[in-house]
Amino acid sequence: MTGPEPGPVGPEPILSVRHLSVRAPNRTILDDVSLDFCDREVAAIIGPSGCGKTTLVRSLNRMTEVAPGVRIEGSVRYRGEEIYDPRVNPVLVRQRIGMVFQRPVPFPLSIYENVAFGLRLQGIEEAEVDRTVRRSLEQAGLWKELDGDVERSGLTLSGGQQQRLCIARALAVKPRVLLLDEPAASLDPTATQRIEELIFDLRKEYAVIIVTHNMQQAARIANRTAFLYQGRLIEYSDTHQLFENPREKLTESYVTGRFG
Amino acid sequence: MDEPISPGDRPAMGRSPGISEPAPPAAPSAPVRAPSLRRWLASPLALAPLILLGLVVAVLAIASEGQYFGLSFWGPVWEFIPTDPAGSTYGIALFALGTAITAGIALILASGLSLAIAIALTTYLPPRTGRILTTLTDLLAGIPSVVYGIWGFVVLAPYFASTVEPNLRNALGWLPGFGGPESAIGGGTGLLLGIFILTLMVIPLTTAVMRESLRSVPRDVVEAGLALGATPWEVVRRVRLRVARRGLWGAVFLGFGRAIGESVALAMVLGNTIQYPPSIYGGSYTIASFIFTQLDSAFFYPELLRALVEFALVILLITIAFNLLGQRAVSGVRTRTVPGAGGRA
Repeated sequence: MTGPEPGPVGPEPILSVRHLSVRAPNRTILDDVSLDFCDREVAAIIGPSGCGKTTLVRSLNRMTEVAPGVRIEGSVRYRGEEIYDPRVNPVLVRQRIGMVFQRPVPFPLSIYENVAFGLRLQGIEEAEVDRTVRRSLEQAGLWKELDGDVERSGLTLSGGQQQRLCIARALAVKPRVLLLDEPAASLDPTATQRIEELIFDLRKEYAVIIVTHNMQQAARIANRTAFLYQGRLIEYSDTHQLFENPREKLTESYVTGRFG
Repeated sequence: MDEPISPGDRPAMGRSPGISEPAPPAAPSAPVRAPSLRRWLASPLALAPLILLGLVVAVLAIASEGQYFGLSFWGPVWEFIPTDPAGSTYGIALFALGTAITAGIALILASGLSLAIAIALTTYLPPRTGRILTTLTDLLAGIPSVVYGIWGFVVLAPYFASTVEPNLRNALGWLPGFGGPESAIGGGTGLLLGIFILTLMVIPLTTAVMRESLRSVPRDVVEAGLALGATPWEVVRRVRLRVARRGLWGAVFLGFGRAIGESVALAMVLGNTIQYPPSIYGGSYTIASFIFTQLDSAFFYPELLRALVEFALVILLITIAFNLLGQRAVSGVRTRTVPGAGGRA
């Protein structure tokens, strides 16, 4: 899949989800979800535990199918191109649409090699790897913090630093979309704040889609917010509107904390 | 468990997935004591295996009557039925060589196959097929070694003599140890068959340990690799094998401990010849299979008996060493290599 060159930001969404349903053998996890994500924006996905938030983002770069026995229906288009087309290689989809997980999971390699991981897979030449590793660590705010000491193991970093290392690792592959699945769930408040600041910066260059169960977090960083409930998309709108003036009764009860 | 566990007895939880909270101070556990009687009874129990092992070593050492390495390493010729046992020296080199060849090659083959099986099970095969294959390899472990031996002797040996060995000689004759005159091929028993049988016998153990090591690699780490655009094979090669490497080495060490101790099956298929084997088709002995086959004549020759006991001691010490190495490596699988535990500065 060689998508078109990056063009001007227009009304054209970068990711467009249509009638997406995901079924496990004995239950429906996502039920007919349709929504669009725009470039250079942060979109948050909120909802109670088990509502399908994680499955939704994992379906955006074909990570859902990694688990056996899951059926996926519907369409996800990246810049107009169907990512579920059988001719499309999921490996290439994942290079365009990067992902960071809930738990920071550095590989047992040096910090440098962690960031270089995706680049090495693509066989990129050494000088370019060097530049990209440095730039990605700078973007994630780690380069200065580590004073350029990138040869020690990624496992020696603190939890928050590990998570930013994982973000740097995802950025190094030069994705256009970054999926973040509760990236701050296992971090303390200070580390969480650093991540949020980072996400805020990232939207200048990327489409960021973040799953969170923390509504304040969504309100702080997202341009748009989607509310999922029991596998269905209840409401998707401008973040301020969703929190202050929701259209749906269900959304209102959720954001006012009546259930969750 | 119907009684409350006192906090002092609870093992430290590996990691808290939540916010890295400060560890609770160690002091409060001090006043809470487990019932002292139970602890008093428990400690010798915990030591029992060690004591037992010590006893075995001691008994063997005593039984050899201090003739430590009265068997010289390089006793080049083992007088099969020594005319003057009291004056003979017994060399272990020949048997050590047989052991090293059979156990070494079998271990290399078994490790390779086990790794392939373990990778297939954890990465490629659908769960149902995987379970069948797991059951099959585990079943292999339950076959008594005497059954392997008789099967090798009755079924495989004629086939090896008529088909496998001549073909191998034609194909790989240029390789040292695989050629030789046609007469090199005998009745099928010999190093090749011994290696084959031993490989089969080691595979269940190495496969099980390798499988569990690869399985213990956290899912998140594997998915992180996939999410960076790695193919499943690249994830295996660059992530899984690396994270699991200690456990994989542990499997090799445990497998070696298993291989060098095998006696019965090898005594039946190895050709039992006291010689430096001229080729892979030749007969040989291992330290363990020699002890097994010579026990009856040892009754008449006390010197021989002592030498055999020393052989056993050698096997025992090597086995202990490799099992310790293996267990150390495998125990690391559970405690270490959990990347991303967070907050470990």
